[in-house]
Amino acid sequence: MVKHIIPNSLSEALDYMSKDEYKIVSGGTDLMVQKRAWAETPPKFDQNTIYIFNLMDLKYIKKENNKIIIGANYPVEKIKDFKSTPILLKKAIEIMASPALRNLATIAGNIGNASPAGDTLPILYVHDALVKIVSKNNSRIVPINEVILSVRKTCINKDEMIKEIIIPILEFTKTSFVKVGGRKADAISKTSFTGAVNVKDGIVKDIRIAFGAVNVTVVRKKEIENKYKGLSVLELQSRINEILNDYEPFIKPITDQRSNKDYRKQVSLNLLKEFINNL
Amino acid sequence: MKSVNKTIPSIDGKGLMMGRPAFTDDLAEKNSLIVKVLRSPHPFAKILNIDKSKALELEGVELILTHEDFKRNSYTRAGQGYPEPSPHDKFVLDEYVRHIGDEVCCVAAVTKEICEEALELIKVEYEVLNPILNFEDAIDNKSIIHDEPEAHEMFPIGFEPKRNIAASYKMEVGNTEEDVKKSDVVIKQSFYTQAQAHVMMEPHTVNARIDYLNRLVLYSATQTPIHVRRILSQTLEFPLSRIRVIKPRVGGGFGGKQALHGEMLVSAVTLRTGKPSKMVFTRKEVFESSYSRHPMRFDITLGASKDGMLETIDCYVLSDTGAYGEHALTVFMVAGSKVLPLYNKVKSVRFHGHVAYTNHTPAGAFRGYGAIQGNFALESAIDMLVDKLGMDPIEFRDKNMIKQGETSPIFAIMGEGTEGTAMNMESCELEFCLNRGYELINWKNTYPYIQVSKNIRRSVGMAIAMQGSGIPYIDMGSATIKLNDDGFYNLMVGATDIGQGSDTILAQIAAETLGCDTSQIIVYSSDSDLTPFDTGAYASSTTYISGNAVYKAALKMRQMIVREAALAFKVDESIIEYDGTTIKADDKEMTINELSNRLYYNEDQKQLTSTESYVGTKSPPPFMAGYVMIDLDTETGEVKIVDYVSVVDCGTTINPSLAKGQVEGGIVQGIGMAIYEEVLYNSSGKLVTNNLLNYKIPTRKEINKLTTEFAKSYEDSGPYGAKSVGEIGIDTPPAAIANAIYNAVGVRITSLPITPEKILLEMKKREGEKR
Amino acid sequence: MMKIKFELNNKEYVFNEDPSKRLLDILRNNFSLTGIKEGCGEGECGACAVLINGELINSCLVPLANVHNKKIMTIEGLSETKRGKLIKDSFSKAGAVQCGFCTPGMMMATEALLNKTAHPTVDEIKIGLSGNLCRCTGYNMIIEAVLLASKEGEGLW
Repeated sequence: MVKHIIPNSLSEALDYMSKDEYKIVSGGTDLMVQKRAWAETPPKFDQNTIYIFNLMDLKYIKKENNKIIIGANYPVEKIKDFKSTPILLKKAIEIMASPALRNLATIAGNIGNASPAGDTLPILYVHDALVKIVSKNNSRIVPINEVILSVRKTCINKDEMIKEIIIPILEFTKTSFVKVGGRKADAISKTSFTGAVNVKDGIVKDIRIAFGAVNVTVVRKKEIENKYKGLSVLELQSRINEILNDYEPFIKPITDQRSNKDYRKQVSLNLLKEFINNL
Repeated sequence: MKSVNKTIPSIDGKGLMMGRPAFTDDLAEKNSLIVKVLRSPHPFAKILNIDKSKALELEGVELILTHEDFKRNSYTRAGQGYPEPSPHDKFVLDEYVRHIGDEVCCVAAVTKEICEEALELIKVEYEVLNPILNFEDAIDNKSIIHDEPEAHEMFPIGFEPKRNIAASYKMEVGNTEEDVKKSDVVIKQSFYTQAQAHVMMEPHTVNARIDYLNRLVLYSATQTPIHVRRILSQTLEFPLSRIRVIKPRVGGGFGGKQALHGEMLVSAVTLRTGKPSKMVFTRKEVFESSYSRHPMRFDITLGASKDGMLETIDCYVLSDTGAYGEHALTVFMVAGSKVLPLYNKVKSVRFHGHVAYTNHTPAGAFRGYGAIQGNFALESAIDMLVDKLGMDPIEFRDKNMIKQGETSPIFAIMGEGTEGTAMNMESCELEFCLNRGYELINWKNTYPYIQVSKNIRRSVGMAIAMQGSGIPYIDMGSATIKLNDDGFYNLMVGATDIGQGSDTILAQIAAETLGCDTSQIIVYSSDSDLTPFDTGAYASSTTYISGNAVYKAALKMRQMIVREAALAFKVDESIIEYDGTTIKADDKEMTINELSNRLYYNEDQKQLTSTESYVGTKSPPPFMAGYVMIDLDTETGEVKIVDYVSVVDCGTTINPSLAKGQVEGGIVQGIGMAIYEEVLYNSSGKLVTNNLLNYKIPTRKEINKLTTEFAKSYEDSGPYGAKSVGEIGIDTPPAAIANAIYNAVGVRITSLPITPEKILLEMKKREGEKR
Repeated sequence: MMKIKFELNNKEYVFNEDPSKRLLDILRNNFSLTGIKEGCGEGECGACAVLINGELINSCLVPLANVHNKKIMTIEGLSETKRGKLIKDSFSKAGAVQCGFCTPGMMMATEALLNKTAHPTVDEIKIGLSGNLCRCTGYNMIIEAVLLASKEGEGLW
């Protein structure tokens, strides 16, 4: 007999999950569609299901010591409206899908799905976000790039769930998030570019670059970034071809129903070039 | 005028807004059997065996129907005049499946869930056949898609099933080949258009029950209830007199519902079980298993003289009708007949080609009906020619296009599936449209482009278009008006309101003629038992054809009222004055309420009803000029529509707000076809763009400014000077946007949709060539 | 089967149902609320939008379990309120309704938007209603309708 559970608290949920295997349903956006059978009748839940959408102990956002801490159940629409949310994250949420979907969607869901085109993921990478993953007897904090292993693969075990996302607040003098999609309201991008710099007295103190939808996971390369830190803006711009060459091997998009690989690659590099040239 | 040319809210709007039960599925019987179809996973296969035994054992499964349960009566799903110009190449269920999503068999069960379980338990053995997945390989392919002996044409349409040809056509005026040779400047180019999907918000929906008179009663979301009744009766061999088809409110059609989708199966289920049944297409079924727009290839040759006179147009068209030939010939012909007359000063014109079968989702009727495809090809080619001539696109069109009082030989030669009807342009304000649009878009200061920022170029582009107003001598509409006590009227029309607001504008025409307020007209439309005949909502015919019928019926009712008043006052009819509310003769006075009550209850007792019909003897075209302003991002190839200016001549607008709604809705669909709505099949013939995530219709975010104006125009043959306006809006965006992109960056995209991928690729190629 | 409790259009209901069923089906089939339309079943079209605890949500994506102990408002409930009547009048005046299939969802989105921003800009309206597809209109008449509601509804939101 398939079990359906609406737990009253996180600990109750984790307790269930320590005993049996459960499918976690939060907002339900993806699941309600993915579970649709061939004939497209409503979804059939043929496994144990635990509904966590109503868990108030996962529905929070707070600022603590220069960090934003977001509970796994906190919908992105509300994250956007929180005053301390980093500007890049606000921007990514603003152009993501529609309000009705944003009221259900969570960053935890974005992470759990591990889609290379997930709109908020590049922002998390740029901010070196941390993910707190809990089970009945355990709790661990994992950097975002170690949570997501590959397309639709994460390090989260069956008895675990995401409790919160921790996003360090960083100082940037200029940020850019550009999503290229067929339509502005698309939930999924053809490619996305995230750039952030901190320039003081003409010197690039910090530079962070991430690309979405051009590889199996988000592309962020700290070793390339480190190479260019400490240069003046003009020096950085004069080395644009070198920067493009550095990133080129990591931009390995595919051709699918949304776009083709040549376009994705060219546009990704165009956006990087534009970002550097406009500093 | 009191009621016509006035903006009033649509008469059904408020009830629909509150969610009152009005649409087909709202009106299904609560205990309806759910009908679901098992659909083919193969693009082309023969069904060897269907094992339904396990599924039948399931509790709650009522019935499973396969091809063995039906007599092999071939028919066409296309709802068109009879005999249909579409080949009869379809069976209710067949032993062959011809596209992924084609019907294999159907299950009727008490719940959706049981239906689904049953579908999973049915085991089908297929012999997989070689599919044809490219329409350019279809003709004379080794695979024959319609090899069945029952497939036939109703009259000659060039049907050659052994060659995978659903229809073919050829016409020529003058000698194009000779004229091309003599031309100073020649353009030769191929263009491709895609299988746009209608995406009406309400999916195909139908339900059936047997009523207390033992008759089959259907509610159907259809544009053509009368055609549905006829085709059902002929195909299921069930008496026409025992079928009633009711069209309730319909959630959009755009041509997609000008056919039967599901009516056969629910009827069969209900007739066999005696129980009510219903079927609602899933969105995926709407995409894969109904029909879409005919993709076409146009091979166009244009010849012109040095001084900018267009001499000749030669056009070969290959059209892809997919697995079945619904609207195959007629859409093909409209690609010529409602495009080529725009340039009526040519010495010669040739239009010919074929409609091929493939193993893709079928194609059928869709707003624009060939004209949008033809317009993209011709209006793109014209701009190429203009560029080669070094002329201005506006100047060239002004010199060469059709104008007031003129004609084109094409009107007489090409109709829809048959010969056409000669006519002069009694109302043609295309010249005004051209000039007004030029001002509104600020062409002078923008053409060809201005650089607005480092990577954004703003440019303008344009195209002109025409459509028709019904099909002469084929489309017929009729109306019945009944006077009630208290002096209000019932207006019964066969005309089919599918959300465009035809009930409202027909009420306005009736009110204008009867002199009463629109609220005094109670409209009831499209019920095969209760309303008089109408061919249905298609071919831009309702305002002009059905509107004329309503006008005639109202005029007759008015005369009847005057006659009755004369009788009551005992005076001669000629001295009666009637303003719609009060009837006067000499010093006598009576209201319409009093007269109607008298007729019902007191003296000269009778029911006044008037019925009139109208069939067009010509099809006066609406015209328009479409001007677009775009911002093109040279880094990403993305195009943003900044403003779309439409200047439209549709004669008098019966309801300016609803007319604007028709134009702007058409423009947005046209923009979708031009730049967003990509149709992709994978290599095994599966439609990838089969949901609203992958198939991208414009959302509110994509649409910026729309500027819509109507030319002052009056068509003498139309009701209060009106022509039709349902389709004209969709025609110009593909060519206008393609032309604007050329004006921005000098690349000519010849296939739709024009994606950023294509633009960037062509820009890259062009840079390579420059180096 | 589970015991589910919710408040629907200001009335409380408690009943036993399969918690994985879609809220859309429950509202249409069990409560005969025909204002909720299924246009796609994938959260893309917005025709089935309702307010859950005041937030705009597509009911096709919501398993019944997720509305346990929540407040649901549909177009049938909204129509009875002052705001609902005003939105209805504004849509009608602006000619924003053609086939009317998407309109109830549009109106729910309008209510959700005005609740948050009583005087939205055109861009805010575009974003607020971006999840509601319409294939009949050119969208601009709907934007006019929302502007009109916002103007005439001074003080209501």
